[in-house]
Amino acid sequence: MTSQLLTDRTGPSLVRVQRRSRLSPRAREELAGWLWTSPWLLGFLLFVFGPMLASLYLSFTQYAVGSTPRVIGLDNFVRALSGKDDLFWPSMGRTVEYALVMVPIGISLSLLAATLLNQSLKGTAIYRTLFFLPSLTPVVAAAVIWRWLYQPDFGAINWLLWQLGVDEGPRWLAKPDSALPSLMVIGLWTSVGGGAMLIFLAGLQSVPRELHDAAAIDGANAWQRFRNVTLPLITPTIFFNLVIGIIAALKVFAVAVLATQGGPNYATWFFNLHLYNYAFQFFEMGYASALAWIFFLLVVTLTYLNVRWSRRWVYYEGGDRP
Amino acid sequence: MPILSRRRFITGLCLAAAIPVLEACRQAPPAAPTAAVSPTSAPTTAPLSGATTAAPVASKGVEIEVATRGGTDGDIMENSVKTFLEQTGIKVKHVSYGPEPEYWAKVQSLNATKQVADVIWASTGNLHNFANRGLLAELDPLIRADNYDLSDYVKAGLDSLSLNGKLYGMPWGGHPGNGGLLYNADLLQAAGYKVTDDPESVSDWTYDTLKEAAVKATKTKDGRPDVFGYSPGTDFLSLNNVLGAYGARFMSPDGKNLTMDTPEFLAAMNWVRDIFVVSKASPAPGPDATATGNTQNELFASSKLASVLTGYWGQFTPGEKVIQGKFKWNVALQPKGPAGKRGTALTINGMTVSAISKHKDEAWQFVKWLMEPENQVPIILAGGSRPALRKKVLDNPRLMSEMKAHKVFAKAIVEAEPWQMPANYRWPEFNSTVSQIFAGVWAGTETVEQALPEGKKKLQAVLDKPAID
Amino acid sequence: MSAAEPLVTFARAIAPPRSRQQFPGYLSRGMLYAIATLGAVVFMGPFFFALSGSLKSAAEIHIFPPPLVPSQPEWGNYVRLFEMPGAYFARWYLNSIIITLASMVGTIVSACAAAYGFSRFRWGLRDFFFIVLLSTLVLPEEVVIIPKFLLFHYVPEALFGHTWIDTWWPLILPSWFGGGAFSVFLLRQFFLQIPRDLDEAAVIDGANSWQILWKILLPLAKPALATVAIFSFLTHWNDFFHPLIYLSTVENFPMSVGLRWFQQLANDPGEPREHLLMAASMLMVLPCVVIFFTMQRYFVRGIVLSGIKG
Repeated sequence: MTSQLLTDRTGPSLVRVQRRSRLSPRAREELAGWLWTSPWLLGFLLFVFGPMLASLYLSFTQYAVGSTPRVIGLDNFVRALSGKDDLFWPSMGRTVEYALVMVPIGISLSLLAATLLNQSLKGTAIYRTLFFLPSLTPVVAAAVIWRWLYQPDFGAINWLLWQLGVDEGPRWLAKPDSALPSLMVIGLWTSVGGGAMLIFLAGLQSVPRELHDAAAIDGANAWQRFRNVTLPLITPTIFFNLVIGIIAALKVFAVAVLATQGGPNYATWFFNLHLYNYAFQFFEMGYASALAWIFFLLVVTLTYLNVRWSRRWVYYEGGDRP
Repeated sequence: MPILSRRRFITGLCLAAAIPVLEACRQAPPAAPTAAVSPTSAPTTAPLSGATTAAPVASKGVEIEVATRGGTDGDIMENSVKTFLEQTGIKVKHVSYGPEPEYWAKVQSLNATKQVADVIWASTGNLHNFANRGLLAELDPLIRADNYDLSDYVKAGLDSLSLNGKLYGMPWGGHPGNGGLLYNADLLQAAGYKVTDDPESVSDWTYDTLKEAAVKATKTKDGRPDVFGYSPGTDFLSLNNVLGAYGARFMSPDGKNLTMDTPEFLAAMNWVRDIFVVSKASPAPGPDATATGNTQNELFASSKLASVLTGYWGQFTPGEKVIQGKFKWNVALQPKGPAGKRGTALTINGMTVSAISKHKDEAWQFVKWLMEPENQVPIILAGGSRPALRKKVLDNPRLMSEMKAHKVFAKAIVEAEPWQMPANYRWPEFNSTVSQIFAGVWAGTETVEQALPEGKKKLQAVLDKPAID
Repeated sequence: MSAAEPLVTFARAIAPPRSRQQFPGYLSRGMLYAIATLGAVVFMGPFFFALSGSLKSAAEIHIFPPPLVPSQPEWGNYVRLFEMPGAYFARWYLNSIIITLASMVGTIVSACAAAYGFSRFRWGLRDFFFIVLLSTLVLPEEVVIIPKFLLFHYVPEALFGHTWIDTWWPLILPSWFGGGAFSVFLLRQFFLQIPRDLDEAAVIDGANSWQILWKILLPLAKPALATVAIFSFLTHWNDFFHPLIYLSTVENFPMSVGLRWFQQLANDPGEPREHLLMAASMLMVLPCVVIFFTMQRYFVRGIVLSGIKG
């Protein structure tokens, strides 16, 4: 074996040419690379790329499951973007509004929670589990619990407020104006303390102790150390959580279905809910596919912009990312 | 890591992988009809009207599927198929497609993959849609081939399941469109009204009476709400009750235009708004029409709600099992309004046959069997369904005597006004839009007049869409 | 150069430096504990309601406002769940376990393979496909669910004579083909950090690519593997959307859909079932809590070491 390898490294012409070494090492590496990646590649073609092409085709058709698709050109896209579907832009607006609030607050709170947990308090493992618990809760259970809590007349939240002297608590999920913020609270409860917090925790733990100590010696107080030492070094983590967080916020769906059904008066009518309705309630699959593609393009654009913008403020320790 | 060595880890993984692979292989695909024999059987020789046992000449070995919403509907259907098998030898497999709205999604997606059940439960709101798109089989040829007698059936019931003169479903259960008033006799008596647990004692109530009673029954304790008087519904069917009583409707009979500008419409909607916003006699409305369902039942069972809008099923939900004799109660019909009548809409739970079923004859036999009074009555008594629209069931002496409120409903069902169906059969969309657009009114942020322009725009947009094909 | 040296260097590198961002001095440790406890209460509060609800009796569940502590804890609720007609909790629980385990194994196996291919070999289009991999993180499922549904129906029917709709194949199979972009990404980042010297040393000793993966990389990758396992477990255990679309026979449901099913049952005439719904939710969360609590150290370590945060 060894001799074979040595021979291969020095050139193709030498001594024994065994069946194994018909391919050059370079070609073998090439082949190996493809082979090892092939399960993923196959999965990508079958379960991602293929279906994406199919849905792209469907977006140019009118297709109610059970009949044959009928090509109608750009009609679906015109219908959505021109406002003929009078819920398209509002649902887009709701979703963006939700993301605009959820993402900054969520990330800040996750960072705060991670910092807290990084203090080597006793029982950190327990605190960490407790913080993480909401994100483990099945969304059905979370929706039921929160609907209960938010009930204006008999729910626990208004009852607590009443104990504190507030006579008539807000109507929470029942009023169009307060429904969206109420859902945001549920969203925050589920996500802060979840994966984002753990990733921040990992990021915080990677900040070398020496830098903190050096800064402390130089007389920096805790806040200054945070701003000038920790924060720059965790910008990659913030960036990662930002990208994932924006995508997750834009995809909000389950909690709206289970807690408010998109109401009241379409106050929580998110884009995904709109899409789901057209796909699985009204069975206009062609239009739903067009909506899905518009959403996809939006998300891709936002992520790209995010990446470009991040070059300004993200600091990578080892120089640029490979 | 000494305990979990790599070898053991991998062995564990392989074992773990083996189990699911074996299990997945064991997963039988959904039962395809195991017909080994030709499905065309000779039709029954004797007409079935009056016959007590269905004795069709069916091919042995045929298995058909019946789809329900599951839950109690499903449990009851399980019993029915067992009995059917004993009596006729035809095997029926019950499949449950989930509660609405998932139920409709399942029917359509399974139809696309040609796996939908042979007998499908379909109610008035969705049946026309499906029939129009060719998902359902016409029943007339099956009825003719069987010489089945339809004279016992209420004509309105059959009409409401027909499209363009063709019948697509049998009226397995019906009710007058929610239209029931579940009331706590004790609480209302305490408020000064002479009501007992006989529903007739409420039969002369008007909407004014109801509002008055609701206000009187509403109580607070230490500044917190304690008891509420009445909880209206906020969905299409519930609003329709009030509208009809005032002589108003959502749309014209041809289903093409809205009729929401009439003073009667405004008056009816304002009555509902009053209960929520002005008199505050109702618990807060939920964000959607269905959100309050459970809460209302819970409040009623805890004596915190004196009356609730309900339907025929109010006899069972929350039911005596929950109330356990804590107070006297019953279900009456919704009050009469200024137009001198109650608002009704004939709502039918139909049993249909799938257009792509390979065993339409056996499916029809099962549907026919389900419509027989002997098979209906036990189900209704157990709370599993509403009465079928045939006289033998509606006038059934057992139902009349053993059910709390059947006698008031029987007449109301027969006299109910027809269902308002959009011309493009997009009732589900219309329904969900109605639930949404008035939410601000019930929450008190706008008046009915303020909500109407935008709401009408949205509803007319639904009516203007083409039919789904 | 012996094989030991790079190993030692790497081992030193992966020992995490314990660093601490200190809070301002005026926030005593006591206050920090208070804040942490308050946070825990806020997060746990709603949960506690569910827990207390799960221990109430049918009559008590209907009292408004709901009392915080049940008068008499009904542990029997948890047993009653399994005896309910029309609900198949034992079956659903087992289904969840099987589906999740099968998906987890598939994810680990195929993600390792793909990550290995992306990190240790140079091959044409590698960087292109890596970008493609990252962009699938962005893909909303709705874009592809309809064609996937049709795919899982028509193709198996053509090939094997029966459909895969209403079976578990659509839920499990995709995990075996790459296991999701996140897992591949995480493992790839991790593998990249393991020095190549170790590989080369092994090659000199006559190892082929499979042996390098098996004997060198994977043993060092335990934290990352644990992370992938946990993430994969949580994702599949709580997945609601896919089983909802693909499955129709009630006995085939995993707990996530079964719970929703059961929630709708609570609307039926008959006994109230909210307390049972809460009990079912607790049961569903339990394995996640146990796994997370015991494995969290690996979890965080895995994320640290994979360098995914940077």
